[in-house]
Amino acid sequence: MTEVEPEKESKAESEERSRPFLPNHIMEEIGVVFLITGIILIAAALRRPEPFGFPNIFFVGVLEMIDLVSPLFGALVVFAVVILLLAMPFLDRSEEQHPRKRLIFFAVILAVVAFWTAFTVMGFL
Amino acid sequence: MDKESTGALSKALLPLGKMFTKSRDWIIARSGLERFMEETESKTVPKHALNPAYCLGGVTLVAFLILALTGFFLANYYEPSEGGAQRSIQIISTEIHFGFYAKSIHSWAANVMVIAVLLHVLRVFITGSYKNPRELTWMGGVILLVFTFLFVLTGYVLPMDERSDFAITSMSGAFGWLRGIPHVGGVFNWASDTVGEALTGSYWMHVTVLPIAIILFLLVHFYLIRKHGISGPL
Repeated sequence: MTEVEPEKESKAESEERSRPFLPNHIMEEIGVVFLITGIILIAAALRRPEPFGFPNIFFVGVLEMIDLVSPLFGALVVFAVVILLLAMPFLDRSEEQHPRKRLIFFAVILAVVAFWTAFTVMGFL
Repeated sequence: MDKESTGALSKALLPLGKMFTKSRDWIIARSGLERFMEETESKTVPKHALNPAYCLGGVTLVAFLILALTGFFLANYYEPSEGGAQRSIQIISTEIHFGFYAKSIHSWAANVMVIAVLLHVLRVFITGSYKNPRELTWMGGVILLVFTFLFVLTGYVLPMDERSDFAITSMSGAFGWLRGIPHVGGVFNWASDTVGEALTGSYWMHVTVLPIAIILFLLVHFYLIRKHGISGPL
């Protein structure tokens, strides 16, 4: 079993953590809350009840894949992507955080995003 | 405002401030939250986390809260039956006060939530924030992502319009086989290709199962974020 390794923090790093959670950070978060709420309310006020219309952009890719291959294949691909995401911390075990030093994993996720985008575009054609 | 009136205003507000402090202390003392408050007040946030990309989780939460509020309102008037769904949506849009706005805001907030959660996952992946000791935070987040998509799909079924056909086709195509599982197959009625079953199954998922599941996973997610803090900068 892997031990949990708490992150070591130098004094300089610790001083960098100078922004108090209360009230500074939380006030900023409330600012963001109001901003987002405002955007949604204004968008709705413009009387466009369906932001992207039909069919919805998020699922066109999956539906296209189901149409092109088979429903079971589509379900297996979705399932495989979820399993891949769940397993990511156990596959990518290096301590490196920068994407340039995690090229393989970065390429895999980019490939997933690229396939999804490609199927979505095909769905609209 | 001159000094004199500022002073008068401060004097007038002073009892209110004292009352607030007293009430807060009273609640903290009786709820046993002293330690929690002390910890929260002494907690600091890393400077790199002030980047807007680190606020995407918060944006997702706000969108979810707006969805919950507008969802409570809409559920009061919605009728989950084949004949009644479209009629009730029509009534909400035309006859109920603020109904059109509630429906519209619900729809916009759902899209904001999906976009924000996808960008949040991408940010966490790019910054490698899922690494030791935050594996569980990431895994819970992936499950929350799946719940979000199920929320959207089951939500599409409810208005009984063209999009509902699209959602029923997608869900029955991808998950319909789950209904064949002995004894528990009925739980997956939302993935049925029969309109009536898909509608009642989706409504049940959308207003009971998924909200409870998402709230439970959110609480665990927040606890883990609080426990491990925000990951270091790149």
